[in-house]
Amino acid sequence: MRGPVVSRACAVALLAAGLAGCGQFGGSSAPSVNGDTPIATVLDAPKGSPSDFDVNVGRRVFFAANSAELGDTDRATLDKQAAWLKHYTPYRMVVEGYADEPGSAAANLELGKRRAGAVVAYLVHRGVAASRLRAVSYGDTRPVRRCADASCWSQNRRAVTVLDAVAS
Amino acid sequence: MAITRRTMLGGSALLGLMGTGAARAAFDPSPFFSGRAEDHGFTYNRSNVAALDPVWQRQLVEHEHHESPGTVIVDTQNHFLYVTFENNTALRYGVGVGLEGFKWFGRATVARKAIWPGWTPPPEMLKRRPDLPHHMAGGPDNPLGPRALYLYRDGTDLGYRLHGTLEPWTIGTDASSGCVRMLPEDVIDLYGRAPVGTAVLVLKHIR
Repeated sequence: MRGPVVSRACAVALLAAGLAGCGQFGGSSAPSVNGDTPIATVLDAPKGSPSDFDVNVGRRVFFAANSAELGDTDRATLDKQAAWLKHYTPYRMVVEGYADEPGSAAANLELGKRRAGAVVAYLVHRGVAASRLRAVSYGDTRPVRRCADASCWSQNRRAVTVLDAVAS
Repeated sequence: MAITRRTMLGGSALLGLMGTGAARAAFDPSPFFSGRAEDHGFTYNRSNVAALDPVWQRQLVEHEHHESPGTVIVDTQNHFLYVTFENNTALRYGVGVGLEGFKWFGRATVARKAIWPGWTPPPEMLKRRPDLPHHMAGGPDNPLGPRALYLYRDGTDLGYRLHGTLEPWTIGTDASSGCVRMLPEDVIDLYGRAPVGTAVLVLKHIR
């Protein structure tokens, strides 16, 4: 059971300013509870900010084993991404593809590339300018879970849409 | 006779459904709803998130954790559910916890997910309660709400699930029925972020 641990950043801020809460340091008006420092809520995330994208849209989609096909759940997430990205245009996006199949490193690199490509193609199909999107593959080099049982690899079989501000 | 986890689940879900009218006759739930929303052929009451205490609203937080990104952490004691991100951040949801939510803790996996889940009382329960329907179809009147995520461990159904609720005002409380109860919008959101195979850690609680 976690105790009421206040995060280090929050504790320092509290000591320095004698404040009752740390929400403002994360940019959110929500109070700090359970040792968490709020960054942005579903209501107070600044519209068009990366926090808004994380709270109200989501970066990740997931794939079946050895597949780069988008499922219904993925399309629902990508529809939200497309609507958001079309509305907030200062960003360019890098779509990162990952794989964790039992094949070779080269095969996984290729699969990650196909996954990222499928996401880019879908976002373009939904009206996001292709010039804003770039696909990269990390193959099997960055698994989020390492485990012997193949059933737990689903979190690794992913594509992640990362926001990158336009260099103007 | 041993009461199995499954019979408890079913019974509490039904109690929740039948108890709302009488027990809450004087309670006006309207401030907790705001319009209607469509989802997979059904229409449900959209939650008025602004009516909830901000601590229960879905939010990005700094949260110290030692889990792989994407792991779901359920903190029944404090009524939070986290999806962990990199760099000690996480998406936090306020949850209500029914009796079933306190019956187990440990590590599990999301083995199955359902859209507008139905509910089938198990045979042993129907024997004791012949008045129960044999199956309650999924839909806006089903107390499980628009999504359910079913937790297994080593291939065995734990009878532990993350699901919706029709009662937004019970977020942040210990509810009489159900397991881990989330706003319809939040359980739909979680469904998209947690693929089958997602690791889940249900924290130990003092109870």
